[in-house]
Amino acid sequence: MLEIVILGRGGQGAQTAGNQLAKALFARGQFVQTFSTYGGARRGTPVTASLRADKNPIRLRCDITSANAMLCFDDSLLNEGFLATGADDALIVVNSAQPPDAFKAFGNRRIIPIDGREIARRNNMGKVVNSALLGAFVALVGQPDIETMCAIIKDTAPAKVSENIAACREAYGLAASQLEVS
Amino acid sequence: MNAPIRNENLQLLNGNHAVAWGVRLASPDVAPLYPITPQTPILEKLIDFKSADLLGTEILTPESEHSAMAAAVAASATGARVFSATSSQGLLLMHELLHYAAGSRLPIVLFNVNRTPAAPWGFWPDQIDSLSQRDTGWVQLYSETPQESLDTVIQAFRIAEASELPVMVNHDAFYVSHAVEPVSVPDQGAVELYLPKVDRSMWLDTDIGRAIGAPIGQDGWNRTRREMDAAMQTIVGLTKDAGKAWGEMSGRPYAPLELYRCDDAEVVFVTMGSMAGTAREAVDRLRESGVAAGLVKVRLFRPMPMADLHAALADIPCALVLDRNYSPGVGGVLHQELMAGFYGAENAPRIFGFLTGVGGTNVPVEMLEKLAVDYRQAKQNNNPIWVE
Amino acid sequence: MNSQPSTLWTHLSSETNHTGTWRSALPLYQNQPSPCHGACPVGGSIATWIKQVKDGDHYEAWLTLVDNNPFPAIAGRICHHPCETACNRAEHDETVGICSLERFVGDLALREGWSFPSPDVELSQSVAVIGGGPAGLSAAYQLRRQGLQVTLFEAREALGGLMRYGIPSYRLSPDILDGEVARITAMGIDLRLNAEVMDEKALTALHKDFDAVFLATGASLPKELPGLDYSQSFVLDSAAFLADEPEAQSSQTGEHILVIGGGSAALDVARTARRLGRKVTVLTLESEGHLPAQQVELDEASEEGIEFITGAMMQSAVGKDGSVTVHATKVDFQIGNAPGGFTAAPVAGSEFTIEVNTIIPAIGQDADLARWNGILNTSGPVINISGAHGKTSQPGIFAGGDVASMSRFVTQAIGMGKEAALGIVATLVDDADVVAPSQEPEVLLDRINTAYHVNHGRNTQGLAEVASRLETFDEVQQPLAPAQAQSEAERCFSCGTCTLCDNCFYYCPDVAIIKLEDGYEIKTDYCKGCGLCVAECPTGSIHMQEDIAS
Repeated sequence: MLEIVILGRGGQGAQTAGNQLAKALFARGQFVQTFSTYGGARRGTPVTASLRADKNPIRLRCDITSANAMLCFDDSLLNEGFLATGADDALIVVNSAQPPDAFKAFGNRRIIPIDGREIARRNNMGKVVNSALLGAFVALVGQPDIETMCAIIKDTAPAKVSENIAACREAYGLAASQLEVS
Repeated sequence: MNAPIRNENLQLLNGNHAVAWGVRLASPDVAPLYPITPQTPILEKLIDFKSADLLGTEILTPESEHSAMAAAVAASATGARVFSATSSQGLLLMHELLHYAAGSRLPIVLFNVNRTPAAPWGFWPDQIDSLSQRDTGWVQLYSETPQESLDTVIQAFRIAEASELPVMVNHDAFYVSHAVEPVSVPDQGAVELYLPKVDRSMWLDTDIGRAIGAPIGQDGWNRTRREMDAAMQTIVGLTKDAGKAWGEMSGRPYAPLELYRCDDAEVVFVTMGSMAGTAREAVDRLRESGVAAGLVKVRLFRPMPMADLHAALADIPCALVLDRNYSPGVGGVLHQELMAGFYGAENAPRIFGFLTGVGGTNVPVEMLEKLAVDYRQAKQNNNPIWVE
Repeated sequence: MNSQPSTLWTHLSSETNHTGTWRSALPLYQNQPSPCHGACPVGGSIATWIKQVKDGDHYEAWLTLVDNNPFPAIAGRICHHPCETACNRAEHDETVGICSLERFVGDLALREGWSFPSPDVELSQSVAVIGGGPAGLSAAYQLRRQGLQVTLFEAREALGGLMRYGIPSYRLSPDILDGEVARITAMGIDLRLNAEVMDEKALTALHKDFDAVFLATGASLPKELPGLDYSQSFVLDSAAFLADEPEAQSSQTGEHILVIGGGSAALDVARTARRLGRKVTVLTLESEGHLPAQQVELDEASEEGIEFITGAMMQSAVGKDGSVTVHATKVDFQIGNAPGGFTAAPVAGSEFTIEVNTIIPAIGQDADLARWNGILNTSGPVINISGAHGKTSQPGIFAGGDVASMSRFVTQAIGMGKEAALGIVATLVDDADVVAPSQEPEVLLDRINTAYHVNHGRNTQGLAEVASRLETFDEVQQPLAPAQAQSEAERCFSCGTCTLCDNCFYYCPDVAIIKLEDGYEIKTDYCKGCGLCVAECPTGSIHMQEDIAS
């Protein structure tokens, strides 16, 4: 079972990203379950989206405490509490302009910074980073495939469809080349 | 658990939208609704359907849940099929009218999203909101998954209309209400065959001199409760019939209780709602590790299918009741129900009551595995046990 | 399907439960007289016309008013308004300003040119009305309304009597008087001006020529003050003074005028004199608080700089070189047991003098009865009448107004004229439709549910500035604005007059009241006699009556 936790601030699109990722995985034949928890939800407060995907129906109805992969929309949210919900070897994609060395303080974890802001800016997406982060995440996690991901974005993006897809593809390419390097 | 089959025409729906789909298929005449987190997506989806002309239901939006239930009572008394939905504080505000609806024998279906009641303020899955309405005369069903919620809300109309008792269906906040999953949406025509619209034998009609609920003497009032008792006695059977017929139609049968790997079990979990899913996982892992575990999922809570429970637990030495609720001064409500139901029974299992996930705290698989290992051989202890 | 609960549904309407059998009392809708109506000298349907004002039906309100009084604009200015004294609202906050509302409607009628309808039928019976003052005009109006033929004899050159010659224009503008009088004469009256019926012979002739005579010659003889020489040039007759034009008034009076008397006429003289620029002192026998004039007149007079010496008696007046020394003494004024009776003993050692230039005594007028000797009983101070309809000792001769009453109020005279007319009609016309006054008890405050009447003080009329008042004879009291009139009308409790508010309909716990177009009906099968409708009635127009028979 693939368990993913996405962390962002309210309004950044973490919940949307979770739903898009679930749709893409579902489209590739997997059973999925995604849910978010929020309280008195408002812009700027941390929002967590959880995602499970498996070839069998998902039965678990509890929080993810050992995620295989994690996606963090904002490096200021990256802390031990969040990291504790992932497995020791979890792949952690974080939206950050900082180099990988900057995250040494978190120990021997697989933290991969992706400069989603820069990619979004280059693709005329302003500060909206979720399509870029999804592209990078797909490249690093290895599923679903980039074509399915782009198809889902095409179906679900509320605006700027081609820009969203371009950002997704650019981040995918960047992350894939980074993976080859490492 | 009735998982959808992968090759069906599935939609990714969260639990609340699955409920809205069930309501759309059941096609009630009237739905008085008032928004409240985390129920609101049910209301929103129904209004989406309505505005897209996909729903014939008359949606009323009164000024409070109390008024919503008052409107539901009045509409149902005219013979209309009526649905409403709420959660937590909203359900508590409806309380007075819940008695009124049941006492009037009105087959209203109410969907409640289980959420912690204030104070303190919270939005988390906890079933004390609906369990504290236990004595209002409503049939109560608890759902584990979005798929089950869709399926159950339709069955609920069938049970309600056959018994002329109101039915409340519940699912947990977030773990079910907001969990997006593949859901099989049945065909409208099939649902219409399953749930035909029938005329009630009695209804308010301005052309007919008839009234409901007029003041009455002590004996008359007493008789209404004995009649309600008789109707409650039919609910287990009606729930079985409704679940069986649903299975024949959809391939997903339901029953008042669901037994999972209970054969030859030395210890079983007994629980309601979303936690049953995690418990299944725990049962599988325990079985793999050599502990003969099982799960009894209580789907029909009121009336409690006690005869079925006795049968299910007949040869099982240990039952671990998992309550995502806390009745102050007592403990878990389901635990107390079982203790009462098994009092004096021969070969009754040892029954332990665990307060797990009260206030929506996380209940991971490992916690349940450990409970089974720790308590399968333990001596009877009547006191509720808080689990962290 | 379950069988239906046997006790939940009721298959019969609650109409099968005849709660009316429980009853020992039944409410009765009955419009009953309000205290204001009872106090009104013309028997005005006050609650009715104020309700019409409240509903915006101003024309209908005027029609109701003129049923009893053809002079609403005049009465609205000068009536002594015993209706307001009787008003139930006094104990709630303040009485309703009935006069100001009446003036509002009366003025509107004059502005709009509303006229009296012609009589439904013309009758042959003829009536001679002697005297064109308030009583005579009121009688002539009521007689014409019924279709009788009226000939009106007036001694002076214009109609109005005291209203024209006795009331100064700052209280009653002449154009108002002219307007309301013209409306009456337009009904077709044979008018004889400058036609004084001088003596018993003339009256006898009219008695013979007409089917009936109404005598309303007023009170034209001034009462004389003992100790005052009326032949002196510094003494003026108050009635003649008031009837004169300002130039004549000015030329006859000195710088400082002493007015003697405490009634309305005395104040009219005093305030007229102030408007001529004179210094004015009023000497009254009555002590303070007991003056017969209206309080509003006394207040306005004080504002205008008139000095009062109350509880005092003139003893002599000595004139010399255009000035007069008045010797007076204070008195111990005591109200007597009989109505209008009093004692006033001089207080020894309280003598004082004042220096003035002119004295105008205004202590009242008497009727000139001597001329009717031989045909009428003239032994009393006024002509003796019996019953409500002004019948004198001589069949066919009726009397009203000051000639037949000591009360000396304009509206009293109007009311007597109306009643005499009704009496004449009843005498002369077969099957006359003369409605007897209601004998029902008045609706008092205890019958009014005041919870439905929000406390709200009276809407008061404005007054002209004192300085400007003294420069002209323009009216002092200013009319209510339309919004004020509406607000004032809404203050009326409508005592005893159903306003169709529906309280009874909504409060009836047995749904036993049916709404009709112009009222309500009790379903006696269901009324259990609880009296809630009566308790919740804001107007006191329902009451319970015993109903044991049911």
